[in-house]
Amino acid sequence: MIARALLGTFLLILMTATAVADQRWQREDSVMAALDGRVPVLEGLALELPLVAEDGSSVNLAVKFTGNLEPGEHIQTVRLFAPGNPRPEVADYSLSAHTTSVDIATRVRLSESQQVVALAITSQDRAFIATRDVRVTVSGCLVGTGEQAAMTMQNPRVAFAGQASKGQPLTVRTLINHPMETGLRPDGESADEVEQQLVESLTATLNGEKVFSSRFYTGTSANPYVQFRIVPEQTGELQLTWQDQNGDVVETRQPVQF
Amino acid sequence: MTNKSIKNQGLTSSRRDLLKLMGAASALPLLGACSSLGGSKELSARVVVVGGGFGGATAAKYLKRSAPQLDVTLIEPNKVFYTCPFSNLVLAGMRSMDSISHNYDELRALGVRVIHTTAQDVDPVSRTVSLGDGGSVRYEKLLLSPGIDIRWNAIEGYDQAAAEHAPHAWKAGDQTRLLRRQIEAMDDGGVFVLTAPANPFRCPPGPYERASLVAHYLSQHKPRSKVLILDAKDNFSKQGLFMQGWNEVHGDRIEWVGLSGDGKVTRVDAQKREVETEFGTIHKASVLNVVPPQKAGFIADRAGVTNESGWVPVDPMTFESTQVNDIYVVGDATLAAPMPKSGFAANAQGKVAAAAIIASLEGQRPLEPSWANTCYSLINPEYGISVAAVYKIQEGLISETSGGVSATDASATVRKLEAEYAVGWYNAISQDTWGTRR
Repeated sequence: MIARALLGTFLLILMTATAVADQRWQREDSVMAALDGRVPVLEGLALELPLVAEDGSSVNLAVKFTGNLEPGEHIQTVRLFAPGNPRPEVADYSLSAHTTSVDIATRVRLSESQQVVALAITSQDRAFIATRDVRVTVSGCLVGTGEQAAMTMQNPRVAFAGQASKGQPLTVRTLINHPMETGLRPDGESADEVEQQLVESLTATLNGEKVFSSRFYTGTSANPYVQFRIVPEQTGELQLTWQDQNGDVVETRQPVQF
Repeated sequence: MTNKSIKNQGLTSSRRDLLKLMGAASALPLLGACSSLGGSKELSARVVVVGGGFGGATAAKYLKRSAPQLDVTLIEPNKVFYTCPFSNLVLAGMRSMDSISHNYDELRALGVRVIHTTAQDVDPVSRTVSLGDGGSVRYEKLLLSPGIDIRWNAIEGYDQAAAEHAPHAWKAGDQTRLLRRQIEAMDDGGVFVLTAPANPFRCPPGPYERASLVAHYLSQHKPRSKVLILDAKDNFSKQGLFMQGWNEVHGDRIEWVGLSGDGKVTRVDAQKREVETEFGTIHKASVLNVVPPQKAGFIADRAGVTNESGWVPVDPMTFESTQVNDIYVVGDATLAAPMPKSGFAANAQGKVAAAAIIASLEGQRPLEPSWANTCYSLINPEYGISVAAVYKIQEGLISETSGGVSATDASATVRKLEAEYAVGWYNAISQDTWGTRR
């Protein structure tokens, strides 16, 4: 019993330490700029990342919102930051109107151990924040993709997890092959860095209506992957449009059938 | 911050300097230093070790050798232990199961009490391990080397029944025999499909060595057959060397599909030997080898030492659990990255934990450890590659301080030598761990 009580005390100390440590986002310019004076709610938004990432070039990340909103309030945007990276921006997601629960997954690049931050902004201009510490044992910046990857977008993929049904959330997975050159990676041959080449955005429309979009930054892994939810009210077609920083566009479509 | 690191802060700087001067450069000299520090105090404490693999057998041996008065008990269900290292050679028909088998005769001769049963539960309050044979053993210090358990159903459809049709063979023994039989029975022209998990998992280069050696077997016996690797990641251990070796030796016999090429398997139909990937591609296999997601062996859960990741956080100085006092955990079950989940790492960690247990029983501070690890892999019987590293504690965390992989574009002579070194490594570590001499 004494051992258990001691353990409890240590856990309490740990939890207190964590609560204090979580305020570190207040010292991050990118996060404070995104908050723009809003005081974020600390409960409701959850960020899932492994405690230890053995390959920082591609770390699974999930962000979920299960908190309480006011009547009529919905989540408009979710933004991800990796403040320990040379550039902190990872991705911004814009959600369709009426989104009250969020379940987004992606793969991010972490150059070193750090605290990753997620923000959600609602239609009533409220902010929610979640943070998560990740230890990175191999830096994401130094792992090349092996063979020289093509600098253009290729092989867009899309799939639904499970069967679509009317009015029910449907998980969409999508990925496109692209090296997402950060502009920070040394070129093995010369003294310069490999030129930046990023996929800039993904836009999802369901029967012509925009339901989800994403803006990508250097913190999103090569071969950008996004998993998000839609709520189809009728059968039709989901159209995904990827655009890179040069304005090139790749489209892919998936029928939605009940 | 853990209770352990609070303790370590109590170390005075002069004491720390003294320890540095004593030079704990590796685990082996460290043991000698510990015994001399202990001033030959009579130690009669009971230490229980659970698991007789690389970590546990090594720890039991070094505990008893360094402090013969200790009452050391090893709990291990199997009378014969088969190693995962070199089990890929068995799959390729290059070795017998007997050649990767080890027993506990040396430990018994040293005076370790070996009980062949399972450890079923741990009560850290009464310091008791309850056993599968109905008995129980008490401990002052407990060392767990539980290895891995499979996360059944982490991939839809992959459960214990499925493993009888689509073996994982990621614990050596019957699963190795089953997969070997399936490979031998495969039709010429068939496809051997291996699915590899995301990090972390036991033996990071293992799936790729397996693909290499199965391809080698197929080239000799079923030349129209192929190997397909479906991978849940884009980067893997020794990737450049494996890919170069595959090009040089196996040509297009081995195909690798990474995460961004839709290589992540999300559903298995073991009866049909069929898998489905994240984006809905169906692959049919003649032989289906699923290397599934893993977690710490179940006794770690029972002891309360695992965290939400399913693995065991430890104090790097001692490999004592950060969650439960007097329980030390070594090997694949631990969160010791960047050290890999390898037999060599488990062996090194077993020595560090043994020394730390003795130091603690003697009322001494543990010496600062360092560890080394080498992983050899075979592309074929005459083509070896390796990765090696030295690890130390930096800012309270295990960090790689030096290391590297075999040279790219090395000569055939170098590759052949590395294949010989691999055998030398296996023989040496088998002798160190179980006393096996062949």
